[in-house]
Amino acid sequence: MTAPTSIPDSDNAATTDHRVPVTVLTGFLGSGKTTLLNYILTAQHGKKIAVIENEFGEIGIDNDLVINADEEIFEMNNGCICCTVRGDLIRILGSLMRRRDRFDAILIETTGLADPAPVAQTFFVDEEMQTKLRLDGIVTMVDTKHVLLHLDESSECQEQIAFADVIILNKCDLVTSEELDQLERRVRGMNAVARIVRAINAQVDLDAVLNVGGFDLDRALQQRPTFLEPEYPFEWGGAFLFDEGNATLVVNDGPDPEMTVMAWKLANTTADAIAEVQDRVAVCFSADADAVQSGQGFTLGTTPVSLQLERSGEKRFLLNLPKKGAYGLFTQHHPDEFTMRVEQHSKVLAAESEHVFNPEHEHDEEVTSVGLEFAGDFDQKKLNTWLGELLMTQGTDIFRMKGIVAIKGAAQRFVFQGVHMLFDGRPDREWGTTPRSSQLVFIGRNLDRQVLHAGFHACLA
Amino acid sequence: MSGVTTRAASAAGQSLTARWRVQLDEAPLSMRVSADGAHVAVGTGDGALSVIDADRGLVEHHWAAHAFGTLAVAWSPDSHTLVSGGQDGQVRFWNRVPDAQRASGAAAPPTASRNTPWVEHLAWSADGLTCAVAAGAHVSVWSHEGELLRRFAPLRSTISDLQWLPDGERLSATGYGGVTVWSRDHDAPVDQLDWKGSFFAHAWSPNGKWLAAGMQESAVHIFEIATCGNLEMTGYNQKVTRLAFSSDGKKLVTNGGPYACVWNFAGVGPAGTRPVSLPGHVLPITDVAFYRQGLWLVTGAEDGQVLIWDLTQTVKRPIAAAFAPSAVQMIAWHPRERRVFSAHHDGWVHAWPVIR
Repeated sequence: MTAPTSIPDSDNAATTDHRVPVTVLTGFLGSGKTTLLNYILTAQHGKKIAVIENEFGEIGIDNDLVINADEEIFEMNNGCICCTVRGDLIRILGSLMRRRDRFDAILIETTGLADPAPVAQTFFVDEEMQTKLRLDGIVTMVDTKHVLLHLDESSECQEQIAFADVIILNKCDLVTSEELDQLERRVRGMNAVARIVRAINAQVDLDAVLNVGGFDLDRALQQRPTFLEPEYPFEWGGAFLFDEGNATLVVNDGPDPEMTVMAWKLANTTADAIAEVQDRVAVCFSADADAVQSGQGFTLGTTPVSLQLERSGEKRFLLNLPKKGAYGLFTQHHPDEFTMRVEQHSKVLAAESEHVFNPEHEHDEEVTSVGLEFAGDFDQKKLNTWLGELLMTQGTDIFRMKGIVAIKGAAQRFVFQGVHMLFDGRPDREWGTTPRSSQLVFIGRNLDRQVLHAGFHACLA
Repeated sequence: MSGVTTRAASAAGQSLTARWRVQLDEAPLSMRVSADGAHVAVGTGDGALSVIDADRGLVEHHWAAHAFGTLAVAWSPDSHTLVSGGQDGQVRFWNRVPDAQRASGAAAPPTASRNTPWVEHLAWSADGLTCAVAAGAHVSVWSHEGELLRRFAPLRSTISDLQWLPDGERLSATGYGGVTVWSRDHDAPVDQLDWKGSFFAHAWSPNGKWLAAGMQESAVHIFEIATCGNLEMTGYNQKVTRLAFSSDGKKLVTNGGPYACVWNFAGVGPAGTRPVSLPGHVLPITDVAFYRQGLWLVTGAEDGQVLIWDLTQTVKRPIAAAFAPSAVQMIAWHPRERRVFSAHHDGWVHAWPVIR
């Protein structure tokens, strides 16, 4: 393998990789791909670029090469893994690699409705491609003005956004800044790790396109480090000291007609005690909640309750406590949104300690991202088995997967990435003094964070 | 250029010394030796076509044949006519003497996306009357004079290889999903061998009983023509892009990694047998060729090595080796002499006499 063993940072590591970087440019017809290509080919960057186009355009500049290709999708059966690749790219890139003049970069433009998967998969299944070329990143051009029309009903549009390492929101001058912010939030909800670049007339910093490093996880994660903070199904958790008997949750009018809550026994009322139980609470919190009306009571347990808040005015819910002690109260929304207070013996109790959690992203999007982080080492055998199983059963729904993993007994970091069922991993630089902690990112359809978290958690050594 | 010698570094067997070597301006993409053994034609990445004297290593002709790259060359059986195909979609007919282009034409109509398909494969019929041309998904048949005789209906995918059958009357093309066979006198295909998968090169056994094809799926697929049987030979490291039958039809050699793989076709065929692998190269093999007669084999690889094997020997070691500091792209035997020509990525073409 070409992976360096003792190079201190990824920038140095990148310079030792002599493979020619390949950028894949996707986007709907009219999103501005051709404008961007023309801009790249005419810009003074001193690079020699080969462009493979699937939509015919009259471009081509002295030093550069423009090849027109007709998309040919081949199905490949390698053992139990079935995937599609682009036969035309294997042929054309193979021919380019046989030439003596070297290109500094290769740019592949796909047709408007193209599924990016076969293009990306081509670089995983073909050994010759893997040794001579490096898939640097997938860039998706979005027509800001029109994308909202496609986003809901077009699976191609969703996939192009989900696959992207860089999303260029083009034609920003044609929408209001509110519309732009709203679009960016939606796109971010689908693909939490891509770099989002705003552009007018496809004018972007060329490094955003030709030096993406999208399959370099360190760089990908630099874009949005907070993404890896776990998401929780509750926004707030507070620790209370209650006496035996009933406590009362007094809830006023708020933004939602209901709110899910759970009460949990704590060791004490510190923030650490909350942290200790938060993952277990999260697992239970996603179960179907029992509805509770104002005036009714609920108790501790492993199923959440849904406080019914439709009636306007003050609503009171009784929490039955079996004995005196420390308890955690976890609420779907922040209590301030409902001017909620907790009373016992007619006195208002303040939380002894509290934590505001990173709430789950809006899951009205079918395509979402899940980031996981684990301290400590994985058991290699368990991890292999679980990953294999996951990709076999959910591979069609997982568009992109990236990870840096600590394996028990290995001095080096293990880095991997995948596209659907295809998976490529290799040892990377040594951990050295950095804490051994693993990071994983998934982008796909119907991803269940709790299932993924539980699956990987079970693989820890 | 004649008289230049290069010491070959070899791990085993005789170390070959180059009879001559020639450097071309760009990487060779195609190479063929004329049937009379007098000339080597090489097409390069800059679109040039060079004709080299096979004995002395002198470049006799250097034509700017195509825009971009010259992907295919083929000598007529009488060695007088040379055909070239390029990334400009053109097929061109050349007279060696006098030095002139005779005819040319577009090998295929533009596709729906106005793309002009590359001319990637050329094959002369053994009688020298026709030359078959593959460009994109199209196969066409041209006369000796360079006149388009027939264009077959396009296949569903780009053609990856084109061969004449041993009978000299039919021709076959591989692509995605199988092999199509035509007679040169009929528009409609005369046979279709379907198999789900992506094929590269293919080779017919000299008796026409077997058709072997290398696959993207790191396998060799073998069609047994009489029984419509299918054999799938797996276990390769990489895709199989080159394969060749020995003249007696008893051995099939393939690439698919750094070790050449030899299948035994004697008797009932290779079903259930294990292939012999030939360790020697350290990087993937890029081309293989059997000598005209007997069981001498040459392999060339990305490691720059040219290895000669005698498959009548039981010891699996090369009998001779040559080395050049750049990947082998194509390799060919002289038609009568034990001399090998190798074309390398850095533009050098070598002639290696193999003396035993």
